[in-house]
Amino acid sequence: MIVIDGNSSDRTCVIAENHGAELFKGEGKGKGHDLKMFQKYVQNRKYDSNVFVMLDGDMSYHPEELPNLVRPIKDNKADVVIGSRFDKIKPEPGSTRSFNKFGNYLLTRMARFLYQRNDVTDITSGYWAFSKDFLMNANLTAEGWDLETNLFTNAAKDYHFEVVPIKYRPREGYSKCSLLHAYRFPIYLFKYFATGLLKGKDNERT
Amino acid sequence: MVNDNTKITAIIPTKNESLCIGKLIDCLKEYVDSDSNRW
Repeated sequence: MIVIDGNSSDRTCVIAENHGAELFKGEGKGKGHDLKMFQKYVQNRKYDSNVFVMLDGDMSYHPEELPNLVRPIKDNKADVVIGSRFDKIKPEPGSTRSFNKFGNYLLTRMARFLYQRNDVTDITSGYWAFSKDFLMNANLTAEGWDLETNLFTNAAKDYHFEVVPIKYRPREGYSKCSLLHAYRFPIYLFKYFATGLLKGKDNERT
Repeated sequence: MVNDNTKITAIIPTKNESLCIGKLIDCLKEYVDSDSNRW
């Protein structure tokens, strides 16, 4: 179990190690930046895990649902699984703010349109499972809050992915995502979509 | 894609999650860093 810590100023690191997790110290420049660092770490070492499950550390996601996320990868049906908070199971009251919900709805609609995938219901989820192949080879360029959009665009473009409905409850602690961050999400999505198109054209030429 | 010998690692990105990180790690222990065939 790996805790990728983004420069916590509280006792997160000490508690994580005391509970038996391996601590990977990020640089605190953002979730995306730190996952990129971890990707390099995995690329340069012989890592025997073949499935990685990423979830936010605020207890808003249910650990007992992990097998549901892993199953499609284990059954060779997918390389990436997105846990969706807005698909069949209603989030618990108080778990999502209206602007989060609305923003996610718009963003997901845009993602559906751009990538022609009507099964996508939550691209900003904090609960993902991916194969080692995906983690080793995904083109991770995100620095911060664009991480999930970056994961989604990689998955939609080059990998098989599935969506699994998950439960969602109010987080313990405070949300670090503000309205200021949220308005950038559509920009990230278009950026990654356009980058993917250009890359595809480059590959056609070579 | 992977086959039957699935070994899982959980990745938890954190920043100031001291309130619940210990509880989350303990809950996840049942599912990760071991052979998934047992569940």
